[in-house]
Amino acid sequence: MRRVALVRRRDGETVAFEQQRVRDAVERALLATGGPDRGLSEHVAAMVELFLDKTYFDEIPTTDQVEDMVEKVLMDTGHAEAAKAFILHRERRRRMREAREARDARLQPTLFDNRVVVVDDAVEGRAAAFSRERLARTLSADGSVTRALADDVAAAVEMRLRAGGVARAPAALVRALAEAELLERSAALDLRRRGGAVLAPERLAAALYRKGTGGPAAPGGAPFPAVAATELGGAALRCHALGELLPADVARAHQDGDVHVHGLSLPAALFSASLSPRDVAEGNAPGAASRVPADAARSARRLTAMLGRSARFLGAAVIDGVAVVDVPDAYAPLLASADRDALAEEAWHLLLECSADVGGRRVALDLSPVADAGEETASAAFATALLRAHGRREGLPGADLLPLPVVTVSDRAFESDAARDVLRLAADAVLRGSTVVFPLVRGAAPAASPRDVRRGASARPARACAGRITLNLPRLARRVGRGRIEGFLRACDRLVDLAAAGHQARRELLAQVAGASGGCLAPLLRGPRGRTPLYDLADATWSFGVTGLNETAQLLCGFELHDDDEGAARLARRIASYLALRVREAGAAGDFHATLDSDDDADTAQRLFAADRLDAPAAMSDHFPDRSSYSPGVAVREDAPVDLLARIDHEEALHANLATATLRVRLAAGDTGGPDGIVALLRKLLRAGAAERVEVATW
Amino acid sequence: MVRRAPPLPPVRGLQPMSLTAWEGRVTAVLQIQGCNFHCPDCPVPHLIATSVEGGSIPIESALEALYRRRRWLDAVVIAGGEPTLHEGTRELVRLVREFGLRVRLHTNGSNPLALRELLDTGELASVSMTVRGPLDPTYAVAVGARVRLANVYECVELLLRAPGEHEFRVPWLPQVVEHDQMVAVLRMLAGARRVVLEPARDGSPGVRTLQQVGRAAGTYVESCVVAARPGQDFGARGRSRSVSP
Repeated sequence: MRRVALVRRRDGETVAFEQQRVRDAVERALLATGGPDRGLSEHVAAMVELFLDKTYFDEIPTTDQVEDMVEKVLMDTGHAEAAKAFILHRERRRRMREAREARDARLQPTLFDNRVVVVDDAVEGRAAAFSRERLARTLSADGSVTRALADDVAAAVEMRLRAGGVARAPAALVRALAEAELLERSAALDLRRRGGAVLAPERLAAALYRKGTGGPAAPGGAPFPAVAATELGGAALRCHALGELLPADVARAHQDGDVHVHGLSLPAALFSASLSPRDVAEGNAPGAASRVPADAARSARRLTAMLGRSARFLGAAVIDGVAVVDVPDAYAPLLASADRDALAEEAWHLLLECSADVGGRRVALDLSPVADAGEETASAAFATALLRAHGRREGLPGADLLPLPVVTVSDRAFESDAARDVLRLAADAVLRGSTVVFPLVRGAAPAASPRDVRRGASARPARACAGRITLNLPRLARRVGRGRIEGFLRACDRLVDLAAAGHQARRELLAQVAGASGGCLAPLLRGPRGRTPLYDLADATWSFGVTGLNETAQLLCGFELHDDDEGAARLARRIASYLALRVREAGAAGDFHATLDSDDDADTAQRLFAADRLDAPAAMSDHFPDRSSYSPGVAVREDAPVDLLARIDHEEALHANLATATLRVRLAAGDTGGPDGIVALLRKLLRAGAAERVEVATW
Repeated sequence: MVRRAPPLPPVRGLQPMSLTAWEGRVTAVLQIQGCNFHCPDCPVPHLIATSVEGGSIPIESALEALYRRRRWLDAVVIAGGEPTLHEGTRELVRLVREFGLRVRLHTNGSNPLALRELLDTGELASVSMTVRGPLDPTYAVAVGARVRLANVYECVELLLRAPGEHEFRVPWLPQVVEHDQMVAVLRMLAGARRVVLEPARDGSPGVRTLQQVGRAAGTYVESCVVAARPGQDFGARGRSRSVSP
């Protein structure tokens, strides 16, 4: 028969006495001192009940009195350690109770609180009075929260703000409180998509006061004010793009590292674009001039000034870079009678005008002489002058800001003395420390003569790449496991579909931006004063990037691309051809021009590697114990124990399935035997290889 | 009686790609073991011994490696050691030619008979001969061995008369050869199509001194360049034209 029937709780309520609870408390105390003893705890609990019965036979004990009795019994029965643990436990509970009571007391709203809570919106740069209605409307705007729930949450937020005696609060705090309330109400929210554009103070400080590490290039490592602003603005736009612009699954895939969406900090920009001096001379280029001066077509200096302005303008509207094409060709008529000094002067001006600003996009300058009899000499002479000035660098910015020279290699370059000299000078620039890109053009001459192309240049919009999303192939390979090729290819389908969805979302955004009068892409995509637009969004390509193909092969078949294993090479080719097919299908289904490209960006490869290391640390350290990055694009591992020819042999076979891929050749300057060595290598690559683009540098 | 073909020469090393062994061409270099000179500044002293104690590459492996990358190569350079010491060099040249690759031979000019035989086959596209000084007693010091100067001279004559491409490499040995002797070497090589002056390995005398030699006597030959400065030609043909920016 129960002798103590009731207990009075601290809030005054009377509840039934439960010996089980006493037994559990005793057992936990005993557990803290060495080990639970069910028999002992039952025995002690029975004694507590007995003493309670003796002591409070004519009244109802309170919870505190019951706990005092537990302490006393433990002490008296020789369990001092357990008693001490129990006392500490009581004390801890007491403090928590007091804190809760204090918080609850503050939360009690006053009856006549007419103070205004000012919310500081740092992003908008303004302050406004807190409005319950406005918060509720914002919360229910994306459809995942009902209006009734939003009203409830807004009221709770207001109550907490007023109870805290807050007079001013940052918008970020209001948002955080609202999300906390939503969480307490178990609302179905994707909090990662509600990150907003709030930047941590550490991030802001790092961008403003960074000491020489990371970030956009700036002399001395210290960030320029505009560069810091661009970086921070980019961070905010990245948050916005992930939270609002991209579909939720694509944003999640980017954050998880399944894919890498390029240019999130510039959501309303093209990925890359080309520009011709002729577009500038015809007044068709962005930012060049509101009205083309009458003598623009005769003055090289004027053309240079306008071209530089257009290139910088375009640089602000692209993610990756700007390519200025047909340079010697366009300048040849203007400089046909110029002597060597005049050519050098014009070359210097052009290089200076096309140099990147701090934090700006680097310009690639096509210096290939034109195959047009009559103007070939002037064209080659200007290309020569440009390469000489580039090599000397007198009075020009540093190598990382100077335009990247691009010189086409074709059979003609080995037949014409002038073209061969340009090629040798380009090779000499490589030996002097510049990086030069050599597109390899094989086969017959183009159907139309350069003059025809020139005439038709303004009728046909220039090509641009509108966006790129890179697929994390090594992650898929690791997840499906070695040997499961079919499973890997099926998994690739999902990534391609995700990337296609990302491209679609971005395409809608770009179309919207281009269509809006005054939109930031309008000058590029709409055309000034009824002229043909410089770029046609319908004609732009959408790139699906491949990176880490070497590691993908390693994870799937155990061999890297440089290993003399035909299986690895065959597998890599199969993956590339399958992806090319799937990308074409995705483009056809979405009605956009999709291309499969090698993503040679080392930062992307490094980011995806870091994401994978976070995803599966043990597996990654097993597979790649000494690595910190995947091999960019379809390249062989940088420290692979193979010579240059073997590297070329392994890589260039993969280029056939890719729309763009660059073969990177690094040589020791002393091993080239001068410019002729590099020219010999280029000739071999042109005649024996399949690669379409080679980047040569020395170390 | 059937005469057996001589064994192929022992291959000690294979450099899979070189842009310097034959300027303007993508080449692979086969290094043949064994040399009759003991030059004090030999860059490959491990190739001097005639035995292959240090291990050699099976000739089949070397040929297979060349065959597999023949698409990327313009030519193969057979260097040493001294390839003309081995009778099998001729067969090696023939095999490489079967791959569709051109062959350059590096020689020290001590074996005119073998060189003549090789030139007579017509399989050699180019010969590069190292001349270590004027043909006087200092030559023996420069090559670290007894040498018949007539043989060296005969080899020079052979190459000057032969229709194909040739190149004379003239390394400057400090403390053995002096400025005037370098000029004398160029005079001896008068009429050569290409001469490459090589600085001493320790860098002294260096490029500038060699350029002085080139300016002084480069016109005896058609093309005279200093190694590592190929853009500046002091020869009769190249003096008027320089591509260096």
